[in-house]
Parts: sequence; structure tokens; C-alpha cells
Amino acid sequence: MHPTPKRFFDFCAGHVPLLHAIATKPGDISEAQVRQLIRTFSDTATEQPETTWQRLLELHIIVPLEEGSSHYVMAQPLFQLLTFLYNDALPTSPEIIQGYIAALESARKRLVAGVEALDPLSVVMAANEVDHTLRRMRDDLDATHRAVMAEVARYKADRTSVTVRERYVRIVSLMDLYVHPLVEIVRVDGLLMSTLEGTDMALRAARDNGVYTEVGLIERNERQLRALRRRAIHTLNESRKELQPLYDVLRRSSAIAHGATLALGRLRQMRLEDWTLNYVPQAARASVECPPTDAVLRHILYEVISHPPVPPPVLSMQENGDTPPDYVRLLWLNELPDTIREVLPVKDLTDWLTKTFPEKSTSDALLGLSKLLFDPTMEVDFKGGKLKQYRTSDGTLEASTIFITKATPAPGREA
Amino acid sequence: MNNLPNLKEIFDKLRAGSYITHEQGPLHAALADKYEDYKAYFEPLGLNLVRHPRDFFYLHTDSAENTPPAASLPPIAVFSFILIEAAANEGRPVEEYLLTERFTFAGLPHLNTDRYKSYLKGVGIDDEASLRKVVKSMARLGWVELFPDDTFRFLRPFHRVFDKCQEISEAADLEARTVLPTEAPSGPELN
Repeated sequence: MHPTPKRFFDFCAGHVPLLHAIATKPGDISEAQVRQLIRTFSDTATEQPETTWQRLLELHIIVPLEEGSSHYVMAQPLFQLLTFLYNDALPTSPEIIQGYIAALESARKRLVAGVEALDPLSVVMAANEVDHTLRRMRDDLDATHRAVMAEVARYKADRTSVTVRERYVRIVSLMDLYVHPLVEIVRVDGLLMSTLEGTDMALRAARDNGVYTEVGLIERNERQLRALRRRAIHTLNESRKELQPLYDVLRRSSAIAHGATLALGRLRQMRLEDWTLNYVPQAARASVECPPTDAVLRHILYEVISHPPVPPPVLSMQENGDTPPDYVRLLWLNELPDTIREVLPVKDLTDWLTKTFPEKSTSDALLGLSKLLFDPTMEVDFKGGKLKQYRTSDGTLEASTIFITKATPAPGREA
Repeated sequence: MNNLPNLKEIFDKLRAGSYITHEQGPLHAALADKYEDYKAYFEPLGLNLVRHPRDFFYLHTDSAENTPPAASLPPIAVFSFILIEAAANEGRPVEEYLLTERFTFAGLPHLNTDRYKSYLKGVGIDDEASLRKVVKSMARLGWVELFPDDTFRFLRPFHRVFDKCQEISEAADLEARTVLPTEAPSGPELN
């Protein structure tokens, strides 16, 4: 007789530690072991051990491995419930996910065939299978993520009880056996996504062609598909983010330890000279006795000797079409004091400058003004008053009058 | 190029075969800041300035690479390998542990087991006094810093021992794969 839910849960509620102990036993468990666990975890004052044992069997909490066997396993649904409750998930292997993908693909084909044949029964069965597969996939991906988190937490909390090699194997197996292959499967251009795409299209076709009237299930499947796409990538990315730093550190740590052990092992098998050549780190200091070395000196001398002579470049002092504008400007600025000196005193320096060199731009005119204002052989006087405007080749300067004349020589010195 | 800061001090230290690590504050900072410039400066002299991924600097020359290791190196290697193996067996993160702990001679695992003793005997080490000599020669190489309280710690250049161990392990893995070809695990990127 199948147990009633109330009886089942009442018993479970009173025997949580016992159930957890059975669930965490690896593999199958003998009757003697179960009875031992009952004595350890149950309250014998309120319930006889024999009664507990009988209840375990009646409620199908443990089931024999095979008919008549004295070895038992916990019933799978309860085992899953306990792993869920204890957050003690097992990672899902890529093979399982690939099995789901195959199931989805099969359901998709039946959906397509059902739509083409206008057969609502095939469509509803296939849609139900899609729904079921998607749920299991989502649960299993979540379980992988939880398993990764739990392993990372265990690693961080317990740093000394297991060897680097053992820890490495645990982390690497999670990464290499579960996360990396799953990432390959769920990546955007991977197998899972293309299958989900195909299933999505088949569901849409079923809905659009009106083959299946219960639109709710189709729409729910579509929602699940969309969520699963996002969730699969997100979950595995998060798992990888958690594992990657540990994976890198442990991979290197393990390789270092492995290399050291290997080198020590070979020490017994080889002559010391050979061992030294192969296994001693070439970390000797590369001291340089007489830098630069003779070889380098010879090379440099050879390059100098064989270098063909080239005459030095000749600078043209004349202005021509090829002369750089900056150089032309510099020549003009240098000649400017001599040019103005011939006409000094000048009542309005800005006026003189813009009229004598109308081709100069505003920036050149300002450079010229600065050159003359700071020339020590000249004296300037800012007259103030009304601002005047002076045209340049590309704009207008606005300034008050500046008077300029030769500087008065200091006492005892010639101008 | 001649305006590179601390050029003389850096060159003198490197040519003597020393490593420049964070311990050499301004010299390390100058090299870290303008590594490419220093490298280009030394290159025409036939000197290859190396920046180790763990952020220390040394000169590498082909002549040093082709010279057999000095006699002091096999004992150093055995000493280091034992320490690495012992740390790993205790479940310690090897690099972090060796480069952050201070060690006492009494606490070393080398003379605790017959297996380790036999390795050490092969390179002429049979007591604590010889172990001390090994550690002193490591200090001369710039791999270890000795303290007055009879303790010592490993310095960053010790990473070259780790690198060698990794190289040995990879070579062994490659050899194993050649005999039994299997697919190497990869680290795929999500799109």
C-alpha cells in the first residue's frame, strides 16, 4: 500500500537526523547499518528501533536494492527532497544535459509532425514533454550551481585538512567535468540554444496554426524556454566565476607540487649530474663579468666601421616655397625690431604693425606686438583711452594706442 | 634614453647578478615604470632585461643559460622541492604559504622522514648545519632573507623554483599525453 502523505511527512518530521544520515551514506546501505543508524539517531524511549525500521520500509523511505536483497537505498524522490532541503546538491553531468537536449529535440520533431498532420493529441503530448524536460533541466542546472557554491565554501572554510592534490582534483573535476562542458553546451552558439530555438519555433507554429487549443501550456513552455536560455548562461557563468580563481591557483599549486615530487623521485633514478641538468632550476644569477661583452663590442665596432659616410644636412637660410611657415615667422619676428627702428618713434604701434604687414594673421600680429613690447632696446607707453580696431588678414584686433620709441640709455651706458 | 632614473644603481645591481624586487623600492619603481625603456637601453649591450610575471627583474644572458648550474644549486633544489612537497601534503596553498611564512630551522620537515633524508643525503646534506648552509646560499642568490632571530623567509625570486616545478610537471604531462593521447580540457568563453 502506498503511504499517505500525512503519515509519510509526520514520520519524516520526527526522524530528520536519521533520514539525513541515511541520505549521506554513499552507495547502498545494509540492514545492519540502518539499524545501527536508528539506534544512534532515534529516540528509543518514544519509539522502539524495530518500529522505526518497519516504518522505514512501510513508507518506502528505503527500498531494497533488488527483490529480497538485504541492502537498501533511499527512495529517489526523498533523496532529492533532502538534498534540496540541505542545499547539498549534486552537479549535473553534461551527459545528462545532453540527454535533455536529445529529449527536447525528439519532442520538437513530434511537435512539428503533429502540427503538419493537424493532430492535437501529438502536439499536447510533445508540449507536455517539453514542459517536463525544461523543468528538470532548470532544476539540474541550479543543482550544479549549488554544488559549485558548496564546494567553494568548503574549500574556503577548510584549508588544511586535505592535500593540495585532493583539493585540486575536487575543484578541477567540478570545473573540467561539469562546468566547462556545460558552458560549451549552453553557450549562445551551442547545442542547447539551437535546440531551444527549434523548440520555440515548433511551439509557435503549433499556436499560430491553431492545432492545439490550450494555448496556456504552449505559452508557458515559451516562457520557460526564454527563462532557461538566460538562466543557463547566467548560472554557469556564476559557477565559473566562483571556481575560476580557485581553479587557477590550485592548478598551479598542484603542478608545482607534482613537479617537485617528480623531481625528487627522479633523483633516485638518475646520476646526480644528469638530474642537475634536467631538474635544477636554471635560476643562477646571470652576472655580467665585463659588460658589454666582446661579442657585442665587436658587433658595434663592425657596424661603425662599415657604416657609409653621409654628409651633414645643409640648412637653407633663404625663404622659398618649401620653407616651413614656422621658420618664416621666426625670421620675420627676428627682423621686426630692425624694421621698426628705422621709423621710430611710432605713435600707434598696432596701427603701424597691421598697416606695414597687412598679410599677417591675427596670431602673427600678436606675436609681433609681443616681440616689440618686450624688446629691451625700445620703450613703450600705453596711452589708454578709447579702444580702436585694427584689421589683420583674418580678423580684427581691438586695443588702445601704444606709443613706441627708442629706449632711453641708462646713465653711463650707450644706447 | 641616458636620462633613465637610477640607471647606474640598477645596472650595477643587475650586472652583479642580483634580482631587483619590491625590496629595492626606488630601483624597482623606476624599472616598473619604464621597463621597456630600460630593456631597450640594455639590449644593444647584449643584456636581456627580464620582467618576471611576479614583478621582479633580472638580467638573462645566453651564456648563463648554457652554463651548467653551480655546485650549490642541486642541494638548494632538493631543499626547495622537499619543502614544496611537504607544504602540499599538508594541504597548504604552496606559493602563498612559502612566500608569506617565516620559517625556523627547527620547524623544517627535511629531517623528519627517512625518504627526505635519503634525498638530502644524495646531495650531501645530512644534518641541520648543512641545511643552514643551503639556506645561506639561497640568501646569496636573493631567494631568501635571513633574520637575526634565526628565522628566514622566501623572497619573490623564489618563484623561479615554482616555475621550474611547473615546467617539470607540464613536461611529464606532455610525455604522458604522447603515450596516451587524450583531449586537453579547455576553458571556453561564453558568448
